[in-house]
Amino acid sequence: MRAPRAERERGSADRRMMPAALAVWATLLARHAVGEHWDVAVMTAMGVSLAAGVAVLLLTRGGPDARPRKAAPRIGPQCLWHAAVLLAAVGCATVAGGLSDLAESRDPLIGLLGSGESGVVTVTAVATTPVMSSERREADCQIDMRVRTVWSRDVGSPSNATVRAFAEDDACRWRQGAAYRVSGTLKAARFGSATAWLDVDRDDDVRETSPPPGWRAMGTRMQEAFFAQTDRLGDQGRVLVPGLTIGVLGQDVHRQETEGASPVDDTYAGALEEDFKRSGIMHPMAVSGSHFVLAAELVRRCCARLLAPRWFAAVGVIGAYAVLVALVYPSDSVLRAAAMGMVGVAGLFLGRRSQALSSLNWTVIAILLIRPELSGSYGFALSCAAVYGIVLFDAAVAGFLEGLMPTTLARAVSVTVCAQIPTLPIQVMMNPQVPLLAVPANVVTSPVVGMTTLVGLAALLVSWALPGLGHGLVLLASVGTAVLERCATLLGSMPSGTLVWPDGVAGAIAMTAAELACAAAVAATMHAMRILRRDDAADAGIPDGAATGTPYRPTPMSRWTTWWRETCAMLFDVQH
Amino acid sequence: MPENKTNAPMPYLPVTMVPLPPDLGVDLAAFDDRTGNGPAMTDPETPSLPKRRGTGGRRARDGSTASPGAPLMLSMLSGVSPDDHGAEELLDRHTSRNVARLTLDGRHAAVIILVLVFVLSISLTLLAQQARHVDSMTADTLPEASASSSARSVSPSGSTTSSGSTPSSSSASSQSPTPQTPSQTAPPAQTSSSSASTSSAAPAPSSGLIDLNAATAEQLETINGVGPVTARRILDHRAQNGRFSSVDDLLDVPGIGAKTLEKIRPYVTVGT
Repeated sequence: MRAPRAERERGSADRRMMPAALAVWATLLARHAVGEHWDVAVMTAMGVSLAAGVAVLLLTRGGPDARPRKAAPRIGPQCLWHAAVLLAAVGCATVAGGLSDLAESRDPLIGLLGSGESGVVTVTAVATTPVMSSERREADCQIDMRVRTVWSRDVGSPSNATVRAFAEDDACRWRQGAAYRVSGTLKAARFGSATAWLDVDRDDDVRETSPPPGWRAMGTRMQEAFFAQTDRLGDQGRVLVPGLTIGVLGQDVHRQETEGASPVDDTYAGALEEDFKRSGIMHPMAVSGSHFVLAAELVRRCCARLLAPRWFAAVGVIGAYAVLVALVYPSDSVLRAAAMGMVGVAGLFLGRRSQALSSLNWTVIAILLIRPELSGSYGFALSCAAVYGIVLFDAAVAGFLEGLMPTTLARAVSVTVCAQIPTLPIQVMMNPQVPLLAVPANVVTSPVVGMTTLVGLAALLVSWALPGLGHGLVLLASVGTAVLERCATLLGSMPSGTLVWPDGVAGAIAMTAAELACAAAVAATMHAMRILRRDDAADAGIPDGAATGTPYRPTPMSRWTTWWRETCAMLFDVQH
Repeated sequence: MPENKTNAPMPYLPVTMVPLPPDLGVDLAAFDDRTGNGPAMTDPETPSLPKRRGTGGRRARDGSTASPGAPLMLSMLSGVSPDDHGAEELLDRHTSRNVARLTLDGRHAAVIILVLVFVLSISLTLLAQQARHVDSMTADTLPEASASSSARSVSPSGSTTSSGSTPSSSSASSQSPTPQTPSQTAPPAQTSSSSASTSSAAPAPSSGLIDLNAATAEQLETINGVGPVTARRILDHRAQNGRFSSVDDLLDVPGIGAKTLEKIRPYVTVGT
């Protein structure tokens, strides 16, 4: 006999907001897919779900003489409350998505694009990213800007579009956070996240109207000092050390001519990036939450060593996050990690234990409601999917693997496998190739990545003041990235290392179906083994009815460790 | 006090007023509450009543015929009520908390919906603020108006392109290989920047092409695609290796590749 579900629930595994978070995301994605018939679709969906909920309530209530059920969970009220929360989430997402789409469609910059006047326009805009090497062959550098005003034929209108400006070397003296007045040719974006492209021809088409704020200028100065040190490394260090530390690969950084160093060999850098994609190692190409976790852990240990009060540690963690966000290249996964970290700091302030799943659900809801365009962002989706996978499956998979291999290896493999499970369908949409050796590649490189990241972050923090120390730290970090590079080139050059997969949404659905099939096969195997072992237990004389719980069975790892311990004791007379 | 037979509320419940269960070894019959003597404690070893084994629940039913309120004392002392099920059932109940939390209460749902609406209101506030750019726009237009008025006064001075007054019409000039000097004063270019002063100081070549062997650094910088560093490198190369014999010799200059060469080829020539 089991207690009712409400008594068997654990407060530290709070999954109540997962349906709401997934509903918000699905609503925003469906809005993009359905398009202009969205209102009708939402009305019908809400009507259908309301009718279904009322029907379920009426059916499960029973007649007037039905006796109250104590043991069965109260399905009716639970459906009601969950349906109310889901409806509220879907409604909020619809409103937020609809208004954001409306504001974007009324933007005068989009209007200029749509009317076909791709002439020269003038915009005042704020630079939101640092200068990077251009992805297009026609320009030398690119920078993302958020437009404030757009002028066309002396008529100015307020705007809020994001525009990517491309310029030649002379005009590439942009600084992140500064406001500029730019003239250029406007054209529609063919790829990337910006809505439009702005081609700047001459360096006098660019005028800085206000400098970046002090903290932003300081961050840019620290980044420049860091790049000055990485320029002195070998090729693989120049490419990978900035990637692991800041999140931008070395060949994507735009260095001014005055700095003197020759640019990174494009062929080598392109081949290295391709090798990393084929082998499935994603660490050097994106800043993930591990940076923030490392920073928070450092601050907490320092505060614990100093016996500081809890609020002091919380303030310190907030400061560390702010410094990290200022120094690292902005991306959607950084936004996710910072927001989730803030929810964790709130828990630290209150003295409550924070939960990763609950923080992630609320982070997803808040970020998607405030910026609905992030629902289609691959970086954000990959980052969230990886954390969902780790939080949901890690306990079960690690528990299973700890019986088969040593604990540290089991944990590393479990984290890799759990992160890959939800991200593979999304990765397949971006790049229709399945890296078969991703799990061993990530397991081999994961011990190196942590230390290398720490050393790189330390170099970033000191290079502006102590260039010699910064150079030493950067050299140390390049030793770690040499291991990564060897691993990637070895595994990436294997001919059977990748599996070709269908492209697009069909590929994602096929990948999800394949994963479900694997999970079903694993579950069926374990069920069959349990049945076989029950027959063994019956032979041993254990009555069937007395078997409650899991019968003891020594795992292969425990057998191995016992054998090893006894062999050592026998041969070397050592007491372990 | 047992002799207090008035109806005043007692601060405690005297033991003697409560029927006791038989197996405590207390002989109820020996107690006389009028005299106020304590109960006569019988020897626990002498069985005045047969000891009964079993759970409290079953005892309640058995002992009810002897003393109707017998289980009440035990209930009060131990905290276990007769309605509880037996110990075996207690052990059978799997009460370990191992399931994820998914049940919602009405209050929880209300709080969640309130927080969702709050986040939505923050999002709509940010959207509304983005749309109300009027303040920053008026601040931006003022220098723009002054620049355009100053440019209108400059433009009748003989600019070959029509980019005197409007930025949109300077698109025609941006790709044509006309001398750069006059068009650099067009709005929204800076009116007081150093490049405007150097370009106005440098004489515009009449043929429009710059001689690589005779040009100064300022003249080289006027070429689209050549900045101050590249100009310096060209001059250094000229000082070290002598004069250029053809435009393609620019490929030897560090920092100038094939792409840059094609970009600046229309503007340069090699003189005698």
